[in-house]
Amino acid sequence: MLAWLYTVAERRLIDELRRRSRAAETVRELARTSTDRHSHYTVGIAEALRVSIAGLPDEQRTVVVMKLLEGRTFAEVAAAVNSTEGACKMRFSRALRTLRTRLSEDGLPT
Amino acid sequence: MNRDRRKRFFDDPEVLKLLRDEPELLAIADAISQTQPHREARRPRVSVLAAALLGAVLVAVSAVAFWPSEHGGLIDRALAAVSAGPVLHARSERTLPNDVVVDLASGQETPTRIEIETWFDQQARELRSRVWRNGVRIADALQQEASAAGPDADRAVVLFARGYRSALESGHARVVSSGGGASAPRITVDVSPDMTEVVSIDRETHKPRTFAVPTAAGKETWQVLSVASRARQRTDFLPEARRPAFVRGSVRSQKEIAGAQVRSSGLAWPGPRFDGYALVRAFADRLVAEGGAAGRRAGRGLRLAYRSPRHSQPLTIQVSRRAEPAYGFAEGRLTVSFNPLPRLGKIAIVRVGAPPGERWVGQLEHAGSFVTIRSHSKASVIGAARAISGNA
Repeated sequence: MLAWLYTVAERRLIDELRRRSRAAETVRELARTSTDRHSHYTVGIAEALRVSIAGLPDEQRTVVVMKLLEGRTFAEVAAAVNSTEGACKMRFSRALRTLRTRLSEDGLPT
Repeated sequence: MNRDRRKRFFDDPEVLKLLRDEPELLAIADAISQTQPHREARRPRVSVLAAALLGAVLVAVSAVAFWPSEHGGLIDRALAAVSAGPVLHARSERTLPNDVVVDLASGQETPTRIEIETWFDQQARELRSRVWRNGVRIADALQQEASAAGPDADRAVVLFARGYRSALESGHARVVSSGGGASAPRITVDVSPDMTEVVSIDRETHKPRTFAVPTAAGKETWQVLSVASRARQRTDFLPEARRPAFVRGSVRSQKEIAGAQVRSSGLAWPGPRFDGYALVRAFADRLVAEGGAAGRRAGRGLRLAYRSPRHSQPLTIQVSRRAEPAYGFAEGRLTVSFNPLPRLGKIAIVRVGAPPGERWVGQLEHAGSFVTIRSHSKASVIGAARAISGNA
């Protein structure tokens, strides 16, 4: 699961960098090493992420949703959950590490 | 509130800065952003990884621009003190004043003590870290490419283990004070692009004695118990013992019940009233724990809510026959802050959040019941625990 996700992320990085002329050489180098032909995350990844996010502790899930899906700043998140910015950053990082662990356990979706 | 919600998400430097040296987490953040429904207008699909790469370039440029000029004397001696071999072995500890064990009879508090032992092979880029909390080993992790802290070891310690010597070697260290009187010499070391640690150096051995990092709450200081560099030994990087799989839990359903049913449950509780608090609602929960050697298993527990005219916030209690992950017992065997469970007659209490909005979470075992107490008042948590254990 994670390897697949990283491969797609790398492809997306390459696609993005292709739009940036200053990074053209980097793009070519990365493109030579990439074998993935997909440019979007699969439904399986989306579903695995949805389930994994739902399983996060409330305080971590809240920070992830506010930051990544609502686009709030950490200061806004901290104010919303009555905590500190530093604590919210910590929860955010922990949540992503937890997701990494869970996704690595899940295997590749079909 | 930030009104510019429609700006390009990855132009916001916060996620980039936080995850700059953790590409796997950046990839996961990117995937979440791209696959999960946004609550507001969806932002342009711009990769966080692209921003990360550009950010890394900027960091590299700024590192060159601010290349330190002071790289002699004390720093040379500090480097020489840890240059005997490729493996840097260190043991560091600190105590947590807001993560304590309280003896319910005497009221005596003992702060949690964390000790982390690290081995870092600079050539092989391998890191091993062992974590003890209150004398109990809770983690033993091996990372082939030590790019970031694992889930168990403190990031400041991991970055110190892998970054201290290389910062001294590469010139990413500066003398803050050469010491005088009773104070030890101090240097700052850039152990990662986003973390600088202040290290005090022993006058005689020139080895690090403490290292400190700024935090939201002030400063986090670690005592270096021992540090040595040496040749790699066979046992340093043996594959870690098979770790139990992550255990997670959740509440699957709840049903409100009467106070009389709480009494007949046989589970430990403080009664309908204690310390000015009165039971206002009670629920019977169906729980599930997943992962670990036992696999999926169902459980039951009670959730109680109390109110007091002296406190604006409620106090809640969760109680069950097992250390349920859904009730905050990490891995089904540790406290919410990953400490070993306290002995009978004691309660582990940790502060969550910072004043004035902090909460306190207390956990204890009593008469075959595992109890989690949450309140905005530490004294109320202790009062509830005493009512439960009969020490009121």
